[in-house]
Amino acid sequence: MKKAVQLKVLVVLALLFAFLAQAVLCVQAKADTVKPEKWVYYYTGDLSGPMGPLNGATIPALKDFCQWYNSEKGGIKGVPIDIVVRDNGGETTKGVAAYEEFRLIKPKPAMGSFHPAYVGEALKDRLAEDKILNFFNTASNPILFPVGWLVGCCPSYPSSVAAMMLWVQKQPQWKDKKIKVGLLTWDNSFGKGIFDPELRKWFKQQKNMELVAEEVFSPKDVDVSTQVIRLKNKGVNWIIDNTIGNGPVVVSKTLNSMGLLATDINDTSPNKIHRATCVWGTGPEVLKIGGPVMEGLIGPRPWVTWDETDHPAVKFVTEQMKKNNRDTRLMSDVYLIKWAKMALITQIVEKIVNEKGWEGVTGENFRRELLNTRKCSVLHGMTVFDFDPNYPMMKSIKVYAVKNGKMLPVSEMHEMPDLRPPQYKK
Amino acid sequence: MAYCPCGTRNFDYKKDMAVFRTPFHWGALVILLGVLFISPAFLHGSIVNLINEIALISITVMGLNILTGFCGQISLGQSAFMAVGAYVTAILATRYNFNFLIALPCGALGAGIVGVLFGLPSVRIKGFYLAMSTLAAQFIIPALISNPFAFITNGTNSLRVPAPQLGSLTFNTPQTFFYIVVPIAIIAIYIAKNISRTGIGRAFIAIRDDDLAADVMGINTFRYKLLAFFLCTLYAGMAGGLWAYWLRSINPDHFMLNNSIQYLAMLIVGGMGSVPGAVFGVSFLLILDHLLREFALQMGVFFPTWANLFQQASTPLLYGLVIVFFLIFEPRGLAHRWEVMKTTWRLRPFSY
Repeated sequence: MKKAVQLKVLVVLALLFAFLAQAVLCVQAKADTVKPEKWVYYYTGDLSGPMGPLNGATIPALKDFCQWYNSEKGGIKGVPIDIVVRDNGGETTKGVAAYEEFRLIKPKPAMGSFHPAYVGEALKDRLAEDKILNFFNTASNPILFPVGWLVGCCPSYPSSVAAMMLWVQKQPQWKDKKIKVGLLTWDNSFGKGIFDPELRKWFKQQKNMELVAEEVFSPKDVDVSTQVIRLKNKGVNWIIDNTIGNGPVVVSKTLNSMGLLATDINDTSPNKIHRATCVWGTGPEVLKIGGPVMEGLIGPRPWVTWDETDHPAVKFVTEQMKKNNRDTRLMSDVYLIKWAKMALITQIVEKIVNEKGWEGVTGENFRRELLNTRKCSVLHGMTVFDFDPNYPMMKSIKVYAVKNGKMLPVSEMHEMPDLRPPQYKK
Repeated sequence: MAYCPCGTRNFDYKKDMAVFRTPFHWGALVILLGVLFISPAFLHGSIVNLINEIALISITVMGLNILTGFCGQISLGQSAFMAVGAYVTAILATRYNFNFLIALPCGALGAGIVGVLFGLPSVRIKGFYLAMSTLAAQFIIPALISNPFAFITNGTNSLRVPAPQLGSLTFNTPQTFFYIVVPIAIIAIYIAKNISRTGIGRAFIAIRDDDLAADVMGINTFRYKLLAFFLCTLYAGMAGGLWAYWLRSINPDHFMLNNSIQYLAMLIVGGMGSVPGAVFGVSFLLILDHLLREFALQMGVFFPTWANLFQQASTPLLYGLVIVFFLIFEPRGLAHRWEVMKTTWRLRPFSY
């Protein structure tokens, strides 16, 4: 009997303790939402998979930004920023798993970057259900439309093709020449981002410019002679790819081996073929892999390149790299983009905190602010972010070209033709 | 023959054949299932998600176990058959608004039929040659999905799938999806266990051990080999359908050759021909992969100079090394280690 009473007392005490602990934790949690100890940016991407080598600078870039922001700017209203990174090896399953981990964190993240494109695509419904914004790197129309909780920080693939070709047409040597375009791209959803009905329609409306063929190759291919011969037979004088890493290099090397490579934009001889690539094909790693055969390649970029050594943004980031003793091998597009994105993200969070307090840092508010970001220059002009509630990707680019081994701008920043799917144009 | 604990005897054939023979077994089963079914309520979402993944992959590896472990036929196309199941399910769900309870079996059946077609060469060839012929499925099926059938599959663009629904209940979180995938996995495991104990299972094993001798004994090897292919791909199709509902977006890139090889590796590590082995292999390698990824990131934090090297190379390197060492030191798989542990427990306190 005595033992039974003791047991009951123990159970009551345990329950009381559990209740008190819960209450204390709840109060603590409530206090946390007022002003967090730190603001965390959640990232998942391919760090060890096929795109791993290209994403090598991700963690150093994010860490360097946080260090700079916390020490120089004092964090967001005194709250330091931090990062949580998960590697998904380029696998959708692991990307979804990482997201499942993030979405249950308290307080719920307002946003994050969940790469690559197919991970973002798999998360599309989940993000809308959880009201968490994914600010990532894709610009494929099928992924970003209808506008949801995904925002791409790069220019639309079909629109950038159109913008580049318009720029080419304006060049004196090409004014009276017929431009025959062949699309030669990877046989995956990223590559086929330029096989777009709006782009085809746009080409049909152009004078002296024609889209004559579309070809694909595998990301594993090291030669595309067959495709090039077919394009050549159709009279193509411009080949455009939507690839990354080895993609533009394979096209250039094949053209070179066939004696068809045009390395100068002014060369309009009929036996030469020029090349244009997408935003991701213009990175320094592509130039390193390709070497001299990359000469003459053009591409669209909303960001500066490391080759613009006199640009204040490049000077600033180079200085930061030196401060952190970073290897020069980390000088990649990823390093620049991470800094630019983080600069915008922190700016938006700060704006929300100023207007609505820390309780206001929610997915809905972040999404609204991000999609209403108009012509916002960050980090000494590293890039100009320009979004619209109906246009969740970058609208403007500069055309860049490889000259003497350096990727340098050949145009001013300008708005691209609007090639959104017609049903989403408002 | 498995040793029984002291005092436990089988007095009739029925008891001898029972999967769960003692009250302890039944008690353990009830507790295990009970804990399992309430676990989503107290486990973190990412752990529940991992359990879902283990359950899902266990189904496909269990199918491979029927074909390779029981029947001795090698398949390098399991991932492609999953793709068939995934796409059939997804197309029925998205374009024809089929409920998941109908779409899932249809997807499994579709994969089963395609599997039988690719299993036909098994009648004439075996070993590496059969592996090559199933490898063809791994190239043909994704190519068909990406190109000729792009009008219905969305080609290389992903095909989005709605979350499964039952009345007003939507299974759109790991915690809710758990209640679809785990019961199906348990049923699939139970069926596989029973297949191994029936006439069909014994015929499979006879074919695996010597197909000529099996033929001489009167086993219709043609029929049983195709049946093994059908069951294997039926399992793959069911797993594929669940995959579609789990990720809610499918792409041909989800079903590549490396996935097929990984499933085979899971089976080998777990123990071929053993039902628990398939589950052990899947659990072991998936958990290992998750842990190694975390390890690589943490090492990058402690050694920033080598961070890139760690994050890019250490996970695949250590993953490969663990498999190699495992095969050297425990070639019969985790299932054998499990049997050794059970026997040791039953014979305690004696070591013999």
